[in-house]
Amino acid sequence: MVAAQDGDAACYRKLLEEIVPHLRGFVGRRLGRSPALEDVVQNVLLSVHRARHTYRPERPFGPWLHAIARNAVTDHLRARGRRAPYELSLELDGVSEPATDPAPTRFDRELSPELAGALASLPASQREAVWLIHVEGLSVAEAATRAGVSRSALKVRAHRGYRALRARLEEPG
Amino acid sequence: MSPPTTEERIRDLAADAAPVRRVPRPGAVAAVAVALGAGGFALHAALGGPAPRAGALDVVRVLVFAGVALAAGGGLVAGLASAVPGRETAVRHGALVLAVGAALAVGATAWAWIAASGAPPAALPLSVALACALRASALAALPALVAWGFAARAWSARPVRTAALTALGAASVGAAAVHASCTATGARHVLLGHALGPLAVALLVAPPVARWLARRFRAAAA
Repeated sequence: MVAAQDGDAACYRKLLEEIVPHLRGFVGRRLGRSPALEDVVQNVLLSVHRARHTYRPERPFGPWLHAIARNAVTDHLRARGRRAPYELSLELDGVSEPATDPAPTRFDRELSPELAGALASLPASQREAVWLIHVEGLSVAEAATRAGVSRSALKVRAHRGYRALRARLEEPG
Repeated sequence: MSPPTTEERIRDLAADAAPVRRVPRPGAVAAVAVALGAGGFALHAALGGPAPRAGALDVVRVLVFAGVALAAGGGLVAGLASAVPGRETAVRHGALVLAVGAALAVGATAWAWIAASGAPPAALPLSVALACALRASALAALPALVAWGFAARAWSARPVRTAALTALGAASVGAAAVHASCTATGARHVLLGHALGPLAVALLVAPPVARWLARRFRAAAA
């Protein structure tokens, strides 16, 4: 790393190649089998490049690298959490219920560990609402019938569930 | 056009491997910031401003000074370390020292207030406390600028935390200088002019500084 800071391109390239497998494991443990894994690893490499002037030779390299990687993972989870609830809440904010009840946006059924954990932390009523609509793909009417509540009550539960999920996923790592 | 592979990304980054100038150690920057604060105070005293009151070393005064000094060092170290990846331990320890120092200063002031409740001194006008608070803020400016300059150059991925801790640390430098030289007595004056006043200024200044640090960080990451 010191050689890289001094501008040694060959050493820098060797360093980056050596840390990539380690980063894949580090990021993979936090994101699971996510298609975004390689993107996040590349984001970490970019961040390492931009932050390389902050590394001090008298300090260990591992904590420095892991802090950058954790930040990249957190940014990715925040961005993902911002996108999915936004797509979902458009349907349930009551602007209008589509006459044809189109299929709502679904979560990937293979939930990442983070999402599964966040979902499990919701109160049962909110979890049920989010699950029925966005994992099982039911319409609002069908989900309300299954849950035994009114459509407006189900919308409120789902909306609160999305907010709680977003807040949970945006928690810093 | 498909996105670059990781190998292509590595090749591009290695080709961009210009030499960089390392940031200094956070502890060294904190020492410089405190020295600048002390230097500003000394210059002000040399130009006719209040000088340190070496004769008035009552216990409460010393405890408050010690507490504020601890808060200054802890806040600055924690805030500066917050702008360097992998220094979470230093951030935690610095924040703890900041908290202990603040508790010591406030506790000593509260003790003096309670002890004087039987025969309270005549309350000074609030304008006197405001003058002390403004003087402390002015003396905190240089340390703050040094700290924020470092943070802007380093890696402020946590801009709110960095801005808040450095602002509190710098404000405490100013508060310590004022406390060492203020001739006014009374727990209310110490609390308002030497503690809460600089604290309020720090909390007012921290949000715009945090936004600025966040913009700089995003621009560097673009």
